[in-house]
Amino acid sequence: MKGKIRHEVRDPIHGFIHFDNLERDVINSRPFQRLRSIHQLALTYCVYPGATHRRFEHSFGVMEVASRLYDRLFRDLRGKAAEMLQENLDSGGIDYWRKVLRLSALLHDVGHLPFSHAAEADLMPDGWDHERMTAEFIRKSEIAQILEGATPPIRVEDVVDLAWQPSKRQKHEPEQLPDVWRTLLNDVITSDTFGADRIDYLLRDSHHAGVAYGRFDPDRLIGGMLVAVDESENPVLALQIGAIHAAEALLLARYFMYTQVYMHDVRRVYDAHLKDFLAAWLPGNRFTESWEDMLMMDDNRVLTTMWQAAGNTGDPLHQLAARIERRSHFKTVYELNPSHKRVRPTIVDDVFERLKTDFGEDKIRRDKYGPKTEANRFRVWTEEGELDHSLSVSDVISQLPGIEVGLVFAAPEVSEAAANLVRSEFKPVFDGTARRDGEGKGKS
Amino acid sequence: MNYDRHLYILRAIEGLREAKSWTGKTHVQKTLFLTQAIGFNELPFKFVLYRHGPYSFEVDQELEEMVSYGAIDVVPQGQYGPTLLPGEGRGFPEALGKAEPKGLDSISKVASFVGSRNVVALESLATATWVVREENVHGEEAVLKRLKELKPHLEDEIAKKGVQDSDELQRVLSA
Repeated sequence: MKGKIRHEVRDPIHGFIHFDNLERDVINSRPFQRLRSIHQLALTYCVYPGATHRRFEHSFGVMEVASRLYDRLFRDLRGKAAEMLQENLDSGGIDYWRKVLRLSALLHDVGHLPFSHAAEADLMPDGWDHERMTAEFIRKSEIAQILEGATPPIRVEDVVDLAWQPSKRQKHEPEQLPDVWRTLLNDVITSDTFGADRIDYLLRDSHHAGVAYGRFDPDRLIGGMLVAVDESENPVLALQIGAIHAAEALLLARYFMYTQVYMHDVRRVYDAHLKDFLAAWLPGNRFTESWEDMLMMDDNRVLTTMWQAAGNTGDPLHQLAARIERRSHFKTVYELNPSHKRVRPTIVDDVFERLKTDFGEDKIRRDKYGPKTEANRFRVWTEEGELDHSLSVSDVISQLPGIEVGLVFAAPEVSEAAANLVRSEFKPVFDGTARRDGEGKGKS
Repeated sequence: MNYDRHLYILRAIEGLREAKSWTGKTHVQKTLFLTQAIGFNELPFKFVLYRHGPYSFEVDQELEEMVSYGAIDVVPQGQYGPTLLPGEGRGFPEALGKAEPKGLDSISKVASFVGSRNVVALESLATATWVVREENVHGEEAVLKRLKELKPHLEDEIAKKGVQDSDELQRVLSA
């Protein structure tokens, strides 16, 4: 009997997602199957119980959205952008690059650590991040053989070029920045504004977390995208003005998802406790740079170890595991408000240092993220046929605050005293009555 | 937080404003790159060759930070993107910085030179300077050839002007 050449899975966000034999071989590879055991949102399920979804299904979703974006952007591309990109758009090129794009989208997260981003910044070896690990898996694992053995063969480095965001790659391989075409296709997957990765994770994370914040109209958004040529004669992704409300909805969704889910203070303190546990458990207190070692590391392995340690008071990891398993996490005693920073830019560090002095280093933790506003900036194609700027055409977008988090946590046994100290010591900052040093010039 | 870095960025913005520049992010990026490449090579920013020529992710990150505490205001205006202006908190970098930064005069001179140029001219000038300084290519023809390899979309006239501007800026800063 002749085997199937087209396969499908049912997805809660996009309905049926189809894939071919080559993609099925990649999906069946061990590095990709490992993603079944990597939680998309780390320990967020401790706060939002439904958020137990994995990188596995997100990767399918990114492949699906990237394909739709590609077909919208390049299938009938005309005008100056088409002339500039012509060599990639002929009959052989457009199909080859669609395959590469789908594979890159499928594989873009394959190098994630256990619990995704939670421990990446602190526990990967110096000079490493999950994107670089993804490139290792694509280049060195069985995935490389699958790609090269395809008919026609898929160039491994093409897949790496599209999966690895240039802004991250430049730190490791500054001489390998992709050309204009690859940069555009990379944007289709990884762009901070409208990339397939972002479109899928906002929809998927809000669905599983059970919050409405992440919803927007992806069909209108994708249908409104185009390739334009900017004033530097570079082809860039842009949005038709008619779809600006869909873009506003996406950026608002992003803002709310960050503030309410991704940066939820309890979720963030669980990340901190998870990092403490992993650092104590891992040989050398860090993950290694070996993709073979990473292949054997997933959430299941960590959670099993944590469960055993939490149940055994004699285990050296007991206390660290129990913080998570028994929910005896640190409490929030200070949360940054943008107005505080405008009075005292160093407020988070100042609170942290002050509390450390009184309560000891092991009782106080700090967490900072951002500020980030870059995703709000993109080009807009107006009704007059000109390229404008998102901040100029949309008051909603220009007024959208940046995403920034500053948190200070204290151990449960000292949290009340710590919170009281913060309230009394930093009252002038919170009341806005502190001297605003920035208004005076020069050092005093 | 490195408030000394913020002082350099503020000086670039002030210099560009004095030169009646649009003072977008590209102007700030290229002013600091050209200062580091030609005028004062101890600026604390790492640059890489990116989509529109030399670019520093560190500068970008510091700009976000400065906006968050009010040292810079972002003012949307027109199709070329927002203008950056010194904000109410512009005194913080000097108040909180540790060192008396050197090289501020060089930043002002570069800002004055590039202020009136548009983003295409800036991309051409900065990339030509990158070719000379980072790739050690010399001679107008050789630099032009390499510039066109890196930036094939640049019109010949703009590319040539970029190479000449790079030489001219070198003379201005040496004077």
